[in-house]
Amino acid sequence: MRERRHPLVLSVDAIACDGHGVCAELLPEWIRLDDWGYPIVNPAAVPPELLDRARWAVSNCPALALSFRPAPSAIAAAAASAQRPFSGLASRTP
Amino acid sequence: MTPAATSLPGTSMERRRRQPGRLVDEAAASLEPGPARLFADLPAVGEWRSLAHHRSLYGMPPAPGLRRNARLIELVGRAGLRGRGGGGFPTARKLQAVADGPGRRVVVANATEGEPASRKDELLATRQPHLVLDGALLAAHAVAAEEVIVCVDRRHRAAAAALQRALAERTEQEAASCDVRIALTPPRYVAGEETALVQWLNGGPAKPTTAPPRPSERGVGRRPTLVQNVETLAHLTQIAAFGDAWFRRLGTAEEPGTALFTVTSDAGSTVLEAALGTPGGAVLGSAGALSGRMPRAVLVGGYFGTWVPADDLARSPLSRAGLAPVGASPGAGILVVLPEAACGLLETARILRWYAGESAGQCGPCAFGLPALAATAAELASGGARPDDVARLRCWAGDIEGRGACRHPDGAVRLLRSSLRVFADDVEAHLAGRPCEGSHRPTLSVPAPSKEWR
Amino acid sequence: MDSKLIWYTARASGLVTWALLAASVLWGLALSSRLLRNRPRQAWLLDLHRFLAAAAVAFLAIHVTSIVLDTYVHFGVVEVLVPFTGSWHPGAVAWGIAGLYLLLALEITSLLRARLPKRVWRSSHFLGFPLFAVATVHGLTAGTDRHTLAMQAGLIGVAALITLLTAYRAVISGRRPLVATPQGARSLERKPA
Repeated sequence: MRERRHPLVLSVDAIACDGHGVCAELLPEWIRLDDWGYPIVNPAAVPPELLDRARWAVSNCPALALSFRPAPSAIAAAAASAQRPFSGLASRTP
Repeated sequence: MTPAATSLPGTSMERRRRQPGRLVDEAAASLEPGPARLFADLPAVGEWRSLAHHRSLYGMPPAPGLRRNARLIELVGRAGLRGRGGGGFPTARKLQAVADGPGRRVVVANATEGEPASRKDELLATRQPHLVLDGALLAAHAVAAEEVIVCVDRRHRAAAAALQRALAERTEQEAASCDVRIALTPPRYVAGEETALVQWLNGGPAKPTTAPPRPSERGVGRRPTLVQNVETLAHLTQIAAFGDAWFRRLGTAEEPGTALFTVTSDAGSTVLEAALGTPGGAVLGSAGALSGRMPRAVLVGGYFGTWVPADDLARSPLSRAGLAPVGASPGAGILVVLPEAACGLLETARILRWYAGESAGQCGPCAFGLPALAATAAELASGGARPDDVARLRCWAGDIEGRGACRHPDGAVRLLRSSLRVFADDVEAHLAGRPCEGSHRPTLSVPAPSKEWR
Repeated sequence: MDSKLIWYTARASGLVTWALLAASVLWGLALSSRLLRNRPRQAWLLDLHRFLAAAAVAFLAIHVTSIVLDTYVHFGVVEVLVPFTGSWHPGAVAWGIAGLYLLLALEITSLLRARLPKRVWRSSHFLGFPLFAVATVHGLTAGTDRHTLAMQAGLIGVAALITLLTAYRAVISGRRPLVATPQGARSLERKPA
């Protein structure tokens, strides 16, 4: 398990998303569904206590549409200190 | 090199009356001469300006080579040119981003003009194709591109023909400096979006894709691609010829230069050129939109824009900074005038239905949200809606915004919100079951979406 | 009695593997074609789909092992891994061996899903359909019970159901929302004026 030091946000690939709703079921504190069953994800950095379930949601998406991205402020901080942005276990770059 | 005649009365405008199939050129000597730059020496309908004539004014652009031209990019940066396709992004930054990409690059000149209320790109491509082609070649030179593709909507046959003819002239008379071809795009609104255009050029449907990667990093054939509106490229030709100080003589400090505006009103549809920052009233007046009764509101920025009360618009400078206080942006320079007798809610509902039809259908919030907005807005327009319907519209708008792969649903949301704000009195009346008389008579000509994606 | 027990195990585990495969494919189709629109069930559907597939792998292992262990018909390790090397109904067995590899490929790519490019996983996952077809043919041609009406009816019946559902899934390639709140559902019924 790689150590994470950068705050992460959950992001939805809108084209890949098919509205299955698994993510909202697994992470209801962070993701809710709109009137057509598509996820509305909290854009803030995922709090540490939800990270494990967030990872579970990412790996269980039937369409592989959910992924982690470095939080925008984290990108700025990383760029400033010339470190590579987080590209951990569950993050996917389309 | 001296600039061509900058103000010939009437030549800065091209007017078309609302008669299908007839283009009437009027030398409107009674009107103020506008600043004619792109429209300087504009040929009349049916007249052809030869390549030789164009070269006598502008000279020969340098051939694209293996190395980027940093000085040209800097020149564009000093001139402060911004994109004229709606985004208003600083052109020099775009050029730099593409020039920084690995491998040989591609320039795409975007003349697709999917906005139904816009005619400026079509006009420019038809009457000044050499300006456009030179601009594309200059951009190619700036970023060291080896390929230029000019994309035109396949419905715009006159524009495509003019570009073909201009290209043929160059092939005959000049050594080929770069691979230039013309591509005819499917008649879809989102086809003009950067990533959609790139996907189509790569052999796929003309639908937006998920970015990253942006076209400037990886686009046509996986090479860094510059997608630039043809009007921007035309300005680029003039900046390269006449310099940045010349360009900055008109316009504002933040948004220098002139821009083409398409004004649609009861008086017909007109394309005119004006300096950025010109008050809206002057532009509307020059287009003949203010003769007669004062209009009610103006759709600023086209279908992708927002409603602005007519008197607010008349006082506002037409620029991003000037229109921000009234919640609008010039977009691709489109102004659609809503007559006094028309119903803003009805027209909004019709445009929302168009939005729903033009969705690529790839993202749930857009594919399902836009039809829902359109249907409810139609109910509001016909007087059959209740207050919680309006609440639901606002709720849906908030849910849909920002959740598509492209900005198409955001345009619909913005338009809807502006209509609820600007026509708030009508909303009240309609909810009370008293729709206005205009609500039964559509005024704007909203087209029906097509079905082709390739 | 002992050898018979192993033989029964082989037959039974074969049938169970096939049934588990069928169930897994059915659940996968239900998930992707959004047949079951109940809101709280999607994660359960996905979990069950995976569980059934994993169980199918387990029972396939039992099926193959018991066939090797069984002494009535000779099957060595080579004969169950390489097609057309055995003497007992080589064609029918070949179908089974093909199924074995298809199932292994599916299971491995699914376990590695997070690390594979999306497209690779997606196209390899569609192997599920030929896998089921291959397994059904194997059952109809190699199974000891293949002549019984019950087995034939069962296999063909379920296979027909799955074929129908697959066709349905292929046809509804357009978007359909899985879950709609009452407002959302009503919005879908209304056509824009």
